[in-house]
Amino acid sequence: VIRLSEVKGRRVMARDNAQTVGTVRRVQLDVASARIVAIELEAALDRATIVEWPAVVATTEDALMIETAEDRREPLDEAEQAFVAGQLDLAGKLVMHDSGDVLGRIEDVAYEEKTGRVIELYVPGQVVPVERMIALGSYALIIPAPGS
Amino acid sequence: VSRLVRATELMGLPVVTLDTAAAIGEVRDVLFDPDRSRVVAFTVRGRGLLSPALLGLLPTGSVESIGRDAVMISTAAVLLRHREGMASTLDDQVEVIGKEVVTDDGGAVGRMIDVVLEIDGGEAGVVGCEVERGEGRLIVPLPLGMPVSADALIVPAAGETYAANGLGGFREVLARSRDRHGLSA
Repeated sequence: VIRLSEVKGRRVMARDNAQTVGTVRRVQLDVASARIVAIELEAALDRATIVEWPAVVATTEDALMIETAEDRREPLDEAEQAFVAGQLDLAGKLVMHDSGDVLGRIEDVAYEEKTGRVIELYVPGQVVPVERMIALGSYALIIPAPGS
Repeated sequence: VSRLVRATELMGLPVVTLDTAAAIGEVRDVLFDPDRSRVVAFTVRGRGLLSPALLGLLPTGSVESIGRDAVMISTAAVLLRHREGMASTLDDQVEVIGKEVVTDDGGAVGRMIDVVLEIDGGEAGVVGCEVERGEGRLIVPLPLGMPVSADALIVPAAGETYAANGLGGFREVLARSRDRHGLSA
C-alpha cells in the first residue's frame, strides 16, 4: 500500500539510463475502476507528461522507477486533458456521499502499489474505506453512502 | 431515516450532478404546494457573484437526494432552464415567510419566520412552521392542506403541541400529534 503523500513531488527515473524524467505533480484516478491509472510529471523533459501507473515498476523513498523514458506519453483523451488541467486533482478534493452529505476534503489517499486500486481516503478526522466510486468532477468526488 | 430541517437552511445549498460531480448552481428558493403540504420545486441560481440570479427550476421529482450539504440530481439536463416568463410566474407564488399565523379559533400565534420540512431522500414534506412570538420562537405543527391566504395561515388551536426548544423538541411534538391524528410517523 502506498499513499498519495508519499508519491507527490517524488522524482521519477528511467531504469535503463538512470535519467530523471520529472517529478510527480498529480495522480490520476479512474472512477469506474476506483484505481490510480496514471501520474502526471512536472519539470518534465518535454510534453510527454503522462506515465500510466502500471509502468511504475518500483517505488522507493527516493524515486519512482519506470523502465525507460519511452514509457511516457502526451495526454490523449478528454479525461486526461481535464486531469492535466488540474480540475480533477485529488488533493483537497471534496468527498461526499451520493446522498448529499459531505465528509471533508481529501488530505491523503492510500492505494495498492501494484494495481493502483484505491483502498482508503483520508479526510480530516476520518479514514474512509472505499470500494466503489460514483463520479469525480470539478466540485467533488462522490462515493456511495453506506447501505446504498 | 427522515430528518427535520428549516426551509431557509436549504437555500444556498449547491446543486450537484451525480454523473459529472459538478455543482451546476445553488438553491435560491423553496416552492411549496400548500394543498399537498409538499415541496414541489426549487429555484436554482448560479454560484458566485457574477452568476445569473435564476438558472431554472428543479422539480423535486427530479431530485435524487436532499442532503445536509447538497441537493443531488442525476444530470444537469433535469434542470428546467430559465425561459421567458418563468421569473414572473415564480413571483406569483405565495410567499409564506412573514405571514401572520392564526389558530382556527381566532387566536394570534405570531409571524412566520421559517417552514419546517421533513426530508426523506429526495422528498420534502411541510410539517411545521417556526413562528416568532414576542421575544421567543416556537415551532407549530402544520396539518395537511393548511388554509393559507395572502394574509394569514391558519393552524389548529392546540397549545400543547407547540414546541419552543428547536427542531429536536419538535420531533417529539410531531410524533405525539401524529399519534393523535392516527397518522404514521
